[in-house]
Amino acid sequence: MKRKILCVLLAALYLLAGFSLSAGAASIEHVVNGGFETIKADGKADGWGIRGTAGTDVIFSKAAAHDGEGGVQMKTQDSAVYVAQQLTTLVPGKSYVFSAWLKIAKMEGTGAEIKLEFKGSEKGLGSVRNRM
Amino acid sequence: MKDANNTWTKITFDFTAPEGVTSASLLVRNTTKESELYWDAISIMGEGDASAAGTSTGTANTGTSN
Repeated sequence: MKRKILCVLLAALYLLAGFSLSAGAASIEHVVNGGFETIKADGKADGWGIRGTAGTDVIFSKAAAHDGEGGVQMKTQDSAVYVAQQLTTLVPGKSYVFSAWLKIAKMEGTGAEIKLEFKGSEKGLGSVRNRM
Repeated sequence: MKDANNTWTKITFDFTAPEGVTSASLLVRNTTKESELYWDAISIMGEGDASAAGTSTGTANTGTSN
């Protein structure tokens, strides 16, 4: 009888340990302000940097939203423009799912693109590029 | 390349963070020539390093874009 009770207790502990481990590896959101809904006093979206050249335009507004209160409109005439964010919470070797809503109003070039550039103490960690 | 049909499309893809990575720059780009794009609800879901949570910044305007 004591052996049975011991077995049940051990099984319960095993299940609890497994639950704790899975809870610690919970999936989280890694992009800050991905809906472009928090706008700073200077008109830029919180958490995002912009790089572009003359003739490009980046506008954060509700009019540019798929849903919710914000979105970003990116216009170019003859050069590239992008918004960027530094990610610091990715875990080496783990898998991730990127998702976003995209609307193409005009396109005369090589296309929209998502690029992830990985950095670490070693060089040459590579990048992921997905061209739409 | 997707056509300019002026309708919203959901983009998804999977990737794996390489061994040794400590940070990454996410670039949402609009490449050369005349264009007009709209983006919303940009998300990356997956296991995270809770100790580094909340430290993302908007200063990722360096990088080697091309």
